[in-house]
This record gives sequence, structure tokens and C-alpha cells, in this order.
Amino acid sequence: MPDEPFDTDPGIDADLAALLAEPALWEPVDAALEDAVVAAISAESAPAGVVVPITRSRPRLVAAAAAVVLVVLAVGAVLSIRETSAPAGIELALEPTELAPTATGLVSIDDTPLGTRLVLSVSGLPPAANDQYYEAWLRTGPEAGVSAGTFHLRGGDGEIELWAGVTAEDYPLFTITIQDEADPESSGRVVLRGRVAE
Amino acid sequence: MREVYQRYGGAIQTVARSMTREPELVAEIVQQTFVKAWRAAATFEEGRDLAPWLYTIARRTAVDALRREMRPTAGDHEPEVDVAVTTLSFERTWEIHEVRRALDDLPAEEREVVRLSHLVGLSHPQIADRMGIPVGTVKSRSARAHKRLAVALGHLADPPSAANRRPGPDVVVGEE
Repeated sequence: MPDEPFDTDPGIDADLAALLAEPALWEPVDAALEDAVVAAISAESAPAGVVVPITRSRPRLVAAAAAVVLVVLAVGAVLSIRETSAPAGIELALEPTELAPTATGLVSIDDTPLGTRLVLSVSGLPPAANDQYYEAWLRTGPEAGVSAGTFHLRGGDGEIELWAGVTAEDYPLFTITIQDEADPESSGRVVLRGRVAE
Repeated sequence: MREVYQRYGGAIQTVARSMTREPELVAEIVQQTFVKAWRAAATFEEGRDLAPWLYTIARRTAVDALRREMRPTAGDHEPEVDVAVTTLSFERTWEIHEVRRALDDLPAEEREVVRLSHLVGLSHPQIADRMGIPVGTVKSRSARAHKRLAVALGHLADPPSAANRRPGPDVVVGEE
């Protein structure tokens, strides 16, 4: 009985069969990179003066990894994934409110020489109505905030790049409101929110 | 963190690899992804699925890295313009991510049968010869593996909808 080719397997469609032929899917995990990742993270909580830059030179990363691990062990540092505050290059998960309970979001916040760059990924937020839009804010609290831009999501979920002229350090509360076109002031109707750890 | 890397590193590496063929850039993307995730860990709710969150960070990190690499002024002077990056879609790289995770979850002997079949292009008798096992064993491993893959990747088979478009970060956190 001849072999049946895998692409006729009832559980595997042609698209998946094509994907399975991609070499990238089969490349082994880079073991040296694991050490580099752990070292870089160790450096985040290492004592002042111990710096492991994110670099593209793998041998140097591995060497730095060993050095940092030794230093961290020497001072008895205990790594805790929840101990970090949020330095530059923040990834902030957003919490939905009762106005959009199924929405989720993640915003990447980078302090650049041009201003604060925010890249927002959302899902579960409905497209804004034709006379409405969403507005992103960096705020100190409910009373004071700076707009980071507007969007409508009528093309579906995705990534939205926004910019603000204030920093997340000074304005740590990030919110998204649903706005009416007739009123440019903040509506106060928050659909997603998150706060940068201080 | 090693445990997280060992569990998700393969999928993150595959996402990076699907977006650039430059090995050093792949390594940089993978490293930055886990560093960013660690920095944001305080905002991640325990018990949630880590994979979509890590995936979102990885893809964005890759896009940023590619954009930086493609800038015409990436040399010694200040960047003047931003550059649009054309790459695989959000959904496509998510599929790749999920397939890699499903492959990583297969038992090693079943995974090898799938690899030899789809990547190397061997027939069942050739796989049997290569692995030194009966053809019947190859067939049974293949059948089990494909069944596992079909189950693990069932959420990718349906048409895109709000319900099965899982690439979004499925995380909710408190304000503090």
C-alpha cells in the first residue's frame, strides 16, 4: 500500500502543510541567547554600575552574562519579576472599563528626542461611530492630561502609532476615551486605562 | 525567566526569523522581547496566557528593529525620516508563532517524523529508514502528530473573527 502524502492528511490543510515546510519553524532555540536574555534581565536589577547593554555581538553578550550573573550572585540579589519599576521602553498592559469590558490593549511607550512615542495595540474595541472617535491621553490624574492623538478603528484592530509632547514619567496614567466630534474636551468616558509604575 | 524562555523562546525566535533573515537581528529582537516583557511584568495579570502578550511585544520589537535598519540615515548622522516596513501581516506571523508552539509541544519522536516529512520531504519508508524504525511506526507517529497539530491549531482554521483573532494581548491589569 503506497504512502499517503501528508498534504492529504484530513487534519492538515494545504496552508499548514506549506507552513510546515518553512525552515524558520524548525530552527532550534538559540541556547546561547538564553544566557544573554537572562543576563540582560539580571542587569536590569543589578547594582548601579553593572551595565549589560543590549548588543548584537553574541559572544560579548555571553561574556557579559557570565559577569553579571557572578556579580548578582555575589551581592545575593534575588530576582523578582514584579520588582521592576518602568524605565524607558515601557510595555504597559491596559485594563478595560465597564464601557468596553471585552477590550484589551498594550501600549509601548518610548521616550525619544522628538517626544514620547506610543505604539498602541488594541483588540475588542468596536469601531467608533461616524460621529465619534477614540482619543489617547497621558494624564497625571482625572483632572489634568495631554492628548496623544485620536483614532477610529473603522478598519479593524491593529497597531496605532501616537505621539505626545509630555513624558510618561510626568504623566503616568494612560487612558483611551471615546469622544464625540462635537466636543473636543475629554469626554471622561474611559474605555481602556493603565498606569506606569512609579 | 529561564523557564519562560525555554517555553516561549522558540516561538518568539520563529516570529523574529520570519521577519528578518539576519541572524544577529533575530537575536537582538528575541533578547529585547524578553527584556521588555520583564520590564512590563508588573502590569501582567497572573494566570493569563503569556503567549499573545509576548507575541505582540516580539512583533512590535521586530518592526521597530526593521524600521531602524531600513532608515536611509542609519549611519553616522541623525535619522531624518521614518520608513514604512513591509513584512508579513500581524495575522500571518501569529500563525507562524502558533504553529511553532504546537510543534514544540509535540513529543520529540513525533516532531521528528513531521520534520522529516514536511521540511526534508521524505516519504514514510525513507523516514523509517532514516530513523531505524518500522514504517508502521512512522505512520502511527505521523497520524498522532497530525492529529495533535490539528487540535492545537484549530483556532487558526476558522475565518478571522473577533472570537478567534487571538494575537491581541489578552491581558488585564490594575492601575498600580
